This record gives sequence, structure tokens and C-alpha cells, in this order.
Amino acid sequence: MTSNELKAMLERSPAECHRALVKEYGKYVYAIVFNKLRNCGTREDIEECVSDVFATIFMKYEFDENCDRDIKGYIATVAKRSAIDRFRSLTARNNHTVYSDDDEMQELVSDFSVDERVDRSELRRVLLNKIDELGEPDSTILIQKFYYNRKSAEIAKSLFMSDASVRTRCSRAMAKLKVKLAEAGITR
Amino acid sequence: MKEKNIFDILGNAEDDSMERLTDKCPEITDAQLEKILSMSEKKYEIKKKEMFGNRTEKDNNIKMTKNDVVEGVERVRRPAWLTPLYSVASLILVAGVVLGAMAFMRKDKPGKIDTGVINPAVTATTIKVSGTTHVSTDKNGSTITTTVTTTAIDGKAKTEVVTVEGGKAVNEEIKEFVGEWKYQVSASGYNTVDKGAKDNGIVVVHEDGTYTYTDINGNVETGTVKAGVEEFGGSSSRTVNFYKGSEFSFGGYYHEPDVISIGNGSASRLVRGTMYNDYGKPDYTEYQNTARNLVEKYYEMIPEFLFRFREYRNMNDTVTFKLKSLNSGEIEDVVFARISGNGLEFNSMDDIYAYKRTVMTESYYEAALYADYKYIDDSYNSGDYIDETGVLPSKAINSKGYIIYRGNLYVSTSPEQVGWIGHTAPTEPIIITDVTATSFRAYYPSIIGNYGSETHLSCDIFDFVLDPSCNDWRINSLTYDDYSVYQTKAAENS
Repeated sequence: MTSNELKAMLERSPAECHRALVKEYGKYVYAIVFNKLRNCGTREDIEECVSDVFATIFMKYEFDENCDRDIKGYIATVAKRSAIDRFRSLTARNNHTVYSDDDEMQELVSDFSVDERVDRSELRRVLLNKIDELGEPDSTILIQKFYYNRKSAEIAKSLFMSDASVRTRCSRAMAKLKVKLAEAGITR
Repeated sequence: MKEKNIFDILGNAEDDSMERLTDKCPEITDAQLEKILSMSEKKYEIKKKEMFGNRTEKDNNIKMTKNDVVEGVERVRRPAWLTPLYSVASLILVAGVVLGAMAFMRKDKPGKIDTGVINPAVTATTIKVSGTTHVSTDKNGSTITTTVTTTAIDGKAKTEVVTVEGGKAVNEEIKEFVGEWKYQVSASGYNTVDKGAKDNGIVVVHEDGTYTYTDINGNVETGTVKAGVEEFGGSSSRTVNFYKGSEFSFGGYYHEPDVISIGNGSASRLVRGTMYNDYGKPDYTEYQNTARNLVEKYYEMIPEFLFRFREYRNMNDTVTFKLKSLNSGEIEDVVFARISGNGLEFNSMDDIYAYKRTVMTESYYEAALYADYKYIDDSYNSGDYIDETGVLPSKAINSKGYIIYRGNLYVSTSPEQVGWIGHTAPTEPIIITDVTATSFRAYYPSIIGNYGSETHLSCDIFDFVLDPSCNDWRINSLTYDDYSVYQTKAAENS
């Protein structure tokens, strides 16, 4: 979607334009907000923050004549800033909530020894590379399961698989990942 | 070494990793889309209302809806004498433009050589001839008085322009020297001052062209400052001299920015600001301390702040209300305390705003005024449950920093600190850059948590300026960037 298309749509029908924006960039904004809030916010907090981002964007496109041409870049900036603000207000309330089902599966990912001195961004890249090496659908299952904290049943539905096979694939993929991470010097 | 969920490392990712995580983000379900859309629309409507609410207030409460039609003709009676008055005024304007252009052409006529020396507009031979005063009014209605005084000292003519803005005199010539200067003398007595200096006192140059010099023993001297140009052997030097009455006290040359070398021997000098070290270079520790002090105060006041005047709360003067927790949804006791008796006393939001102004510049302060308070109905008693069913979380009492209850201001004591934001660990100092006489920038690692389990949240970039209204540093802006920006700056400055 380009800025001009967006403006044309806005003139035709603001409601339609808003819906299109959320549909097109909802996942993108959600991912950015989730990235900042996953350790301190509930699912509701994240959704609330995502809606804040879109309300700001609706305002911007309706009332700012000189709105940016790079929609995606602008949305990313608003999302990042709103998420940081929300992070601050949530952590200020001193209640870290990590929500997840399947407690037994959390054991798979806990207790890794991470050397504090290792550059975190480098570590992120290594981890994502190793997860990608597992191939699909395993890489998506692991990310959705342990990073996005999705229930196995939800993942199964989105990937058109059975709940049981998601669980099995997840355990196996995690075992494979552990070996790969050990090779890269990240051990349990 | 620390044990943690390996996937936690993916949090707070930089852009390239973020793209990869977005690809694998679960699709937004239709139900979720509808929910987010309706929440966004609601918030958008509120924002729009607030925006138009503000606009109409400014427009003398003109309230219109989309379907209102503007019709009819408003008849305005115009006094008959206005027309000739306008004609005369425009003639004067045209004459002024013509005369001004002629004067300008004459000034630049060929054959005139620019010597680089500014000649006075009027020459005089008496000690003090006269003051020509011009009074005008600026767009805000403040009176501006400009006095042009032509004097001759030792037979040399000199023109001094003093402008009075809103009752405050501003000496145009002195303007660039206004502020605090450190008077330094050579430390050893044998070497020049730039080889090692010791403090001799502080000189403050005021906007009206006067100065105050406080020496290290606390003796105070006041007088007037004169700036000028001295010609010697075909070259010219800028001079700044300090007079105690009519008697010359001290003064020197202004060759390099922010340094006035006193006398010819380079035995003493004035250096701009008090934040310079003995070598006349910016003292970064001073900047760091200034930045830390202001930022700590800043965080004391932002809505989601963690400390919120912690050391100034009066825990003997509190009220408690039962409120729904925004996190767990359970009813909890929330204690609100007065800020009094411990060094600070705040009785209204205006007091908080005034305190804010000691931290931020006026423009930033206006942009950062939050509605971070809520009125509590007098009918509630301390200990009562306040039902806020249906109230948006952002409007709930529990999300506010302050309450106003029975005429008193209280601060919420519930958002206890989980760590700290904007802290500076010994290993991660505030990075100071872009230092000028009136501004500097500071990069902070924005961290939350405790040592050993902290999360690097972002890089806070604060801009500070020397606020001329109080001659002190104030925060002028805050932007966030990725934590990697701090790391890069730290590497550059190590």
C-alpha cells in the first residue's frame, strides 16, 4: 500500500481505510510491540498498545498533510516508541507476568547458560540462524511456541496440523536446536 | 553466568532480527483484528475529540458540526477617517523605503575600501553626548526600548546600543558574552595559564551589560562590561573589558571561542561556564553530573515514573483507596501520600508543573505536560473501594501519578520501583557529545532491572541547553533509539 493509495482510500471511507491499515500492518505492529512487551505485559496489554499505535497512525494520516511516504517505516517507529512507553508504564507497576500454557514444555527452553558478556545482538542472530536451519514448519513452531508463547493448539490450527504432531515436532526440533546451539558454544 | 530462557534473548531485537521474527509472527485472527480495530477507532475518536476540543477553545468556543451551514452577511461598520489615515501611513512607508534604499546605495558607493573595522555611526568629542531612545512594541505587546548612546573615551568614538525588552535591558554588544565565566590564574606562577590553572573566582556577565565577579574568598565586585575592537599594527583584536565604576578592573582579548585571555602574558584568563577543567577543556564529569541530576528529576515526574518523589513523600499523611489492579484485576489497597515536610512541598499540580520547569526548557515543558492526575470525589473516605468498572485502564486512578482529594494533592506510592530507568552503571557512563557554550547532548543506556538481571531497553538521547531565562541547564528534548546506538557512542568515546 502506498501513501497515495492510502489517502485516496481515506477520502472514500475512513472506516475502510482503517480496516485496511490494521489488516495490512496488524501483524507487523503486533510483532514489534510483542518484542518489547513479551516479558512484562499480558496479551491484553499488547493488544491495547497495538490499538494505541493504530489510533496514532489514523490521526497522522487524517490530519497531517505532510505525512511520511514510507508508511512501513513510520509505522515501525510509532510502534517501537509506543511499546517502549508502555514497557515503562508496565514495569513501573512491578508485576512481571509471563503467560504461557504447557508448563512442562517450558522446561525445554529454560536453564540455558548464557554468558552475559556475549553480545546479545550477535547471540540473537546465531539463535535465529540455528532455528532457520531446522527448516519449516519446525522453525515457525519453535518461534511461535517459545517466543510468541502460543498454545500448541493455536499453532496447530494455523499450520493445519494436529495438536499432538505440533507437540512432537516441537520436542524433536528443540532437541535438534540444542545440539546446534551446543556446537555454537551455547549450552545448557 | 546466568540461567534464563534462551528465547528471552530475542526480546528487544534490532531491525534485522525483528524482520525475521515478524515473518514468523502468528497471523492476526479475525476476532483479534476486530478487537484491535474497534479499540483503535475508540481511541482515535477520543484523540480527535480532544484535538477539536482544544481548537474550539482557542477559537472562542465556536462549535460547529459537520452539517452546519454558514450563511448570512455580517455587516461591519468602518470609520470614515480610517481611509485617509491609511493613505498617509502608506505614503510614509513608501518614503521610508525610498530614503532607506538611497542611504544604502550611498553607503556602498564605489571607491570605499572596507578596512574590517567597524566605524561608529556617529562621532563625538565630548565624554557622553546624548541618548537617542526609540520605543516600540513587539507582537506580544511587550515594550522594546532601544537606546543608542554615543560616547568618546580617550578621543575614540564608540556607539553602544541597549535594548530593553519587556523591562529587561539587553546590551546587544555584550549578548554573546552573557553567562558564567571561570576566572583562572596560572597554577605555578612561572608558566602560562594554559599549562595549568587554578580557580580565582566566577564572573557572571548579565544581559544588561553589567557583571558580578565573586572571587574565591567570596568578595563580590560589580561593574559594567565593554566590548570593543583594538587595532594594532594593521590587525585588529576583539576586546572585553570589565569596569568597576569608571575604573578599569580587568579585561583581555577574545581570540578563541569561550576564552578571554587577560593581559598579554597569558597568566590568567576567563573560560566560559564553570564546566571546564584546568586546561580550559570541557569537564565531562561536570556535564555528566548535570545531566544525571536533571534526568533523575525528569524521571521523577513522567507519568510512569518509578520513584515519584519517593524521598519527599510524607508517609504520616496518607489516604488509602481500594482499587482494581491493572495487572491482576484483583482489588488492592493503594496508598497515596502528601509530598510535604521532607524538603519539597507540593499542594497542587501547579506546584508540580513549576518544579518541572526547573528541569525542562519552556518549550519542552509545554510539550511534556501530562494529565497525570485525577480528582477523587470528596464523598469517599480513606479505605473505601472505588468502583471503576468500564473505565479505560489509561483513565483509571491506578494509572495516575497523583490524586487531588479534599483539596490536597497526593502522590501514588503503589508503583514501586523494580529497578531503575536511565541509571548509569560504572561500566556504562553517560556519554556527552556536541558540547557548545550553550548546549550539549547526553546518551544514556536506558536500563530497567537490577544489576545482573537488567534489560537494556533503549538508548535515551537527551539534549540540554543553557536556558537564558535562568542561566542554568535544562532538558530541551528526549528521543529514544536502539540500545546499539549507545554502544556505538560508547565505543567512539572510549
